[in-house]
Parts: sequence; structure tokens; C-alpha cells
Amino acid sequence: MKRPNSPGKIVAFFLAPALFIYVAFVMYPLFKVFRLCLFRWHGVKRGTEEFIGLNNFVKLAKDPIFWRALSNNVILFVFVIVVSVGAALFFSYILARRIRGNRFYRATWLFPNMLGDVIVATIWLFIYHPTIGMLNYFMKLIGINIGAVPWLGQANTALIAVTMPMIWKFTGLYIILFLAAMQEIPQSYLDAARIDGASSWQEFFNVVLPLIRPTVAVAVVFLMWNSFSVIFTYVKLLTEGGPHRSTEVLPTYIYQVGFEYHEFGYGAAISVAAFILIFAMAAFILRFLMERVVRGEKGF
Amino acid sequence: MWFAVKKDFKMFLNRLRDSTLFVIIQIVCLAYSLFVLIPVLWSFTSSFRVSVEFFTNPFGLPSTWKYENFIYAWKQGNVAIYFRNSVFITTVCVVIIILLSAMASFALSRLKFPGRITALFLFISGLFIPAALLLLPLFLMLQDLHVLGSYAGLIPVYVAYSFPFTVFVLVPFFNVIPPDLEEAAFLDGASYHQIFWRIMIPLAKPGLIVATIFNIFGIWNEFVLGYVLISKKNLKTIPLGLADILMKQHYTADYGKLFAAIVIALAPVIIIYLLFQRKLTGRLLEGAIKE
Repeated sequence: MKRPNSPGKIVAFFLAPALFIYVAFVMYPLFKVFRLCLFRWHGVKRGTEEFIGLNNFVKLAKDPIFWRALSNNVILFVFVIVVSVGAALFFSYILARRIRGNRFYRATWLFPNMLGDVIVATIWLFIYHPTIGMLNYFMKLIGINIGAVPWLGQANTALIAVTMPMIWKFTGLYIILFLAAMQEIPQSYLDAARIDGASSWQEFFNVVLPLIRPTVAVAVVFLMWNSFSVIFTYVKLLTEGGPHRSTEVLPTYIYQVGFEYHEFGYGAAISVAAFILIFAMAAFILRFLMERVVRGEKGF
Repeated sequence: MWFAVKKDFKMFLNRLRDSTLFVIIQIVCLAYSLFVLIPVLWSFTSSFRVSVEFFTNPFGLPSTWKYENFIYAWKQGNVAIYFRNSVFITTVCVVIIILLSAMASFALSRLKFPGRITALFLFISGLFIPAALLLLPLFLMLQDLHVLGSYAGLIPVYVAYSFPFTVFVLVPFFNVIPPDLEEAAFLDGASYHQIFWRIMIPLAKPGLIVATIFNIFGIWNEFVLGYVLISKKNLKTIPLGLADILMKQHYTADYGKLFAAIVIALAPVIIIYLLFQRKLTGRLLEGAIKE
């Protein structure tokens, strides 16, 4: 049945409040950052902006700290994704088998996801503590005597050390999401695989994984979206980007350039570079997300 | 004869393999659970620790349980203020977010108008716009509006950045509501408002609950935006206050009080988690009605 258009007043009543706030506080700043990146400005007095075209980007290309922050950002993201999605696939497949203790494991593993990033960062700050930290104590306990390692204080371990709290926090959510997707798989598919003599490995890689791939894709998108805020919080609280910029990431560098060096135009240029990177990745994922929403599939 | 023995032996091997596998899997699962639980439990015991004991006995149970840590954190540590602020901000924001998102999702899913897909696209594309990359323009914008450092600036920002996720979750729940229901209601002369409140909201309830829980946790724990937009001590929320205490404790090493503050911040999260744990660990974001 073809329905006529709904009355404009009704559409406006239901849609306009959200749309207005959203456009004003998300879309407008986005537009503004793309404009701001063409200016040199210390950010205090209005009207003192100096138009310099693409000069900020020329500076950006030659800024070793920017490249350092970008590569750290990518390394962090890829590492967190690979480890937490990999672990989550493994554990959700175990839970899908309804092993004993199923419910306890689910509740326990999801729990850290409910903790705030500040709390998680604080706890891990103490885990990494050189003298009273749990990690060094544990190392000694299992016979690896490496003394008081300052995990967050040396350039070669700091970056990986920063990823661990994120992995600790996020894996549980992915387990629950993947488990839900696995439980949607019709039992007959799995039975068919069994009758054909598939091993658990084959069943997982040839039947389960292809069927839950959309869920994995959505999970990766959400992590990507969240990652800048999350990474900012952990880096800020755990290392402040140090030592020697070894954990500097894009959002912390933007913060520093803007609020500490007062170079708002240059900070905006770094944001824009990050956005171009995101949009390039987002272009095809977005179409896929839209399809899901329009067709009315579940969010995950 | 030897054939039967061989078969028995094979079955024995199979069973052995299965039970070994079972044991290994349980050990792995328990190890992961300990990895999750030990830091949390340690934080709890540490909140009762005398600060000196962090250096003499960091891992055992506290020799004396120092309840005063909590009183100190609550009063001198300003946690009372942070807690009150967080309750206020979370309540206000979540109510606005859920109400406006439900209305918008209803429009985007059930109403018919030109530009519907574009509007939907606009919201969903927000999933790729991280607030952490817009800190500078947001700061400037709120400054221009003279709401920087106040809740009048923070609340709309929190609300705006919650829309993409909330709409993304809610629209599918509205999509799966059968059209016959609203058509019947229309024939009975119901208005759009009645349809929204009487039919749509009750049927989309599972989605609304999940969206509410996620938004409560999201706002209660939000750090980055608050860190940039709020600077007055008496306006700080729990995560901002905790970060303050953390930075201060670096110098004073008064760790017991820090962890007392953390446990206070955790309490409501744990209560909500225990209440809704079944809902969250079940089928997380299931549509209201099976297709």
C-alpha cells in the first residue's frame, strides 16, 4: 500500500528538535574545523585570524610529531582491534557451545566494559607501577626476574602498555555481540556441517565466521568511532603522550597544539587530516550501515 | 576380537580428548575471568588500605580496614559534589537523549516525507565524527555562545553526540513494528501523537531500555568533552573529579583515598549492571518483534 506523505507539521514536531541540536553541535563544528584549518590564529581575540590557505598542511607534512602521532594512532587502533576482536571470536565461540559456567563468564567478561575510562586507566596505572605494581609482582611470581620495569615510562613498552587497558575493557562487549550473532545462526547449518564431518575449526572458519561477519564489521566501526575519545583518555592519564612522544596520538596532539601552544588553525589542520583518513575508511562502511538501518535489521 | 578392543580404545581416546579439551577450555576461561576480576577486587580492598600499606603490603588484605578513606574522599575529596553533579547531568541528558531520539527515530522510520533517507544518513554518518577531533571548534563555539564552562554548554553537547548511536539502535526497532497496527489506529481516528505514545513507545521498549542503559553509562563515564569544556571544580562530574584526584595523588601518594573515590564512583554502575545484567548479556539489541 502506498501511503501519502505525512503532514509536514508532524514531521517537524518529531524530527526537528533532535535534528537542530545535532546539526548545531556536531555538523556545525565539523564545518568550522574545515574552515579554521585555513587560518593562522592564536585563538583568543576574534577577528585576528590570518588567512594562510593551505600553509598549515605544508607545515603538517613536515612536522615529525604529527607523523609520529598518526602512526602511533594507527598502531594503537590496529593492535586493539586485532587482539580484542580475535580474543572475542575465540571466547564467544566457546560460550556458544554452552559450556559450564556460561552465565558467570558472560557477566564477568562484560563487566569491565561498564567501567569508565578514567577508572580503568587509574587501575592500570597501578598495575604498571614499577615498585608496587601487580604486573612486575606477577612477573616475579612466575619466575621472570626483570626487576622494577617502568612499563609506562620507557619508550619501547609504553605504547603497547597503553593498549592493554583498552583491550581489557572492550573484549567483553565484543564477546557478547558476537555471541548474540552466533546464536542467530540456524542450528540446521551447524548440523549440516557436522554431518559432513567438519571439525570445530572448519565449522568455525567456514560456517560461523562468514555468517557473523556483518556483526564484526559493525563492531570494528564502533571501536573506530570511539577510539579517538578513548585513546585520548588513556594516553592523557597514563603517559601524557610520553616518554619522548612515544605514545603521542592525534587527539592528544590536537589538544596540545590548540590549548597549550594556542595554534588553533594548526590544530584544526591536524583534525582535518584525521577526518580525511576516517572518511576514506568510512565511505564504504557507511553504505553498509545505512542498508542495515533502512532495511530494518537489528543494530548489531 | 582385537577389532572390538581397538574400537573401545579409540572411544577411550576420544573421551580422553574431549575431557582434556573441556579442562583446558575451563582453565582458559577461568584465567580470563581472573584477569578481569583481580584488578577490580584489588581496587576494592585497596580502598580500605592505609596509604603506607600500598608500599609495605600492596596485594594482601589490608591489615586494618580504614573506612575513613571513604569519609575523607566524600567530604574533603569533593566526591560528594562530583557525585551530585554526575547524577544531575546524567539524568537530564539521558531523559533528553531518549525522548528526542525516540521521536526522531519514529519520524525517520514510520513517517513518510521527502528527505527521509538524507536525514537518516546525516544521523548515521555521525558515527564517524568523533568528538575528540572537534574539541577546538566546540570550545570556540561555546565561548562565542557564552556557555563555556557551564552546564548550559555541556548538556547540549552531550546530547548531540549521543544521537548517532541512539538513532542507529532505535530505528531498526521502529522498523520492525508491523504497519497494520498503526493503520488500524489511524482508521480508529488516532492522532500521530497517540500512535507514538500508545503504540510505538510500548513496542519499541526493548530498544529503548538498551539505549537508555548505554547512554547512562556513556554520560556517567564521559571524560574528554567535560575535560575541555568544564573547568570549575564545583561543576565537575565524577570522571573529571577522579582525574583531578589522580593527578594530585601522584604527588601526595594518598592512594587509599583515591581508591575510595573510585569505589564510590563505581557503586551506581555496579547496581545498574546487576539489575540489568541479564538484559545486557542476553541478546543485546534484538528487534521488538521477530520478522
